[in-house]
Amino acid sequence: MTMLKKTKTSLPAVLAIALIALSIAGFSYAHWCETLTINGTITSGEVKGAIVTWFCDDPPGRIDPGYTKDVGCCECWIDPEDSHIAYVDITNAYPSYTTRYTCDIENTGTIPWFMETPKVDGVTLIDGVWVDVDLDEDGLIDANFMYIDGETKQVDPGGLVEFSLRIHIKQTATPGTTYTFTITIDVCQWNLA
Amino acid sequence: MDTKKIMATFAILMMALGVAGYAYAHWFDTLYLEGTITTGTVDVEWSWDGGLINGVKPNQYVVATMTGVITDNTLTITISNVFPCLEGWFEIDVHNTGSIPVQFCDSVCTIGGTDLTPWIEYRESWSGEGTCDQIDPDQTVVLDVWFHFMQENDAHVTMPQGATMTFSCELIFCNWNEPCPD
Repeated sequence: MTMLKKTKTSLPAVLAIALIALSIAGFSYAHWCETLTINGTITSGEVKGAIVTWFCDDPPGRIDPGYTKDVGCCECWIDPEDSHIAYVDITNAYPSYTTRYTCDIENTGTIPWFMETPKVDGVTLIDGVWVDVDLDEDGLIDANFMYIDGETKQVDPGGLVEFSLRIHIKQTATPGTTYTFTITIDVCQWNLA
Repeated sequence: MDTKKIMATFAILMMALGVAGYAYAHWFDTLYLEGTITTGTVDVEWSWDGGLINGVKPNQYVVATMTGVITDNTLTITISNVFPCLEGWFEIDVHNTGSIPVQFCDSVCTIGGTDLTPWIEYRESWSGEGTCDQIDPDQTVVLDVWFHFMQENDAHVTMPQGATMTFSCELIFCNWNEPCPD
């Protein structure tokens, strides 16, 4: 008798507990909600430069700088297909022949940048100082180079940086010889100066 | 404890990679100036232009003779059977066959045999113009040399007979913009 009473009492209790549990679960899963979504677009900028001015002070037909005769000459031009590249040809050079160059680089990108120190065939130049370069790697200095200004100047998009370059032929250069060289100029994002 | 160590190692590794990425991955652009330098040439040639002895052309005078022969860059001058008071002159054409103006820079002379220089006086002149008698490319200038054999030298010693003197002179031409020789 006692057992029957206990059974009768337990069933409603179990049902009640089950209902309570289900209602809690239902509250958890079926509550009203709203989701907010943020759609983002990030467009990165460009670090880009272009050579826009490149000339020298001794074009053909002009008296050599510092002298009284027209012996050597230099010709400069910017690659019409790629303004990242400019050229210079120095012809009939001789010891102590010196030419000056002016170069403007425009910031054609969207990020400010600064110009790093130019390098001639991997040799880093020094602002305002002649730097000897052995162009044919024969152990003798063939020419020295000097650049002035430009270094670490921050240039905003659309702006220009101007620097001057000088090339001087050394006594130990070999007559009747053609030397080639490459000057690389890196422009780096402004906030890494 | 092990978990902490692993976490610390992982954190350090992440930081190192971050620093390396910062250092190597900065944005940049590179511009190039491509250059060519062609040096000129210094090249001089000369030619024997003849001369006169005592006002008579060489080999037409019965006593003394003078000849000039050029081999490569060497001019050999032979004056034979000279005697006191003999005088004469000769001309040498110097032609710039290079692409750079040149100037006479220096001469180095050596003497062999009997040294007759104490009995020789000479003068030289160039027809070149401008600073240091420059010679432009394709230009020719004339070197005139006048000479005279003296009876006696400064010590009143008579010029020796039957003597032979040889001499060799290098004329050095250099690029035009060097300092003028003394």
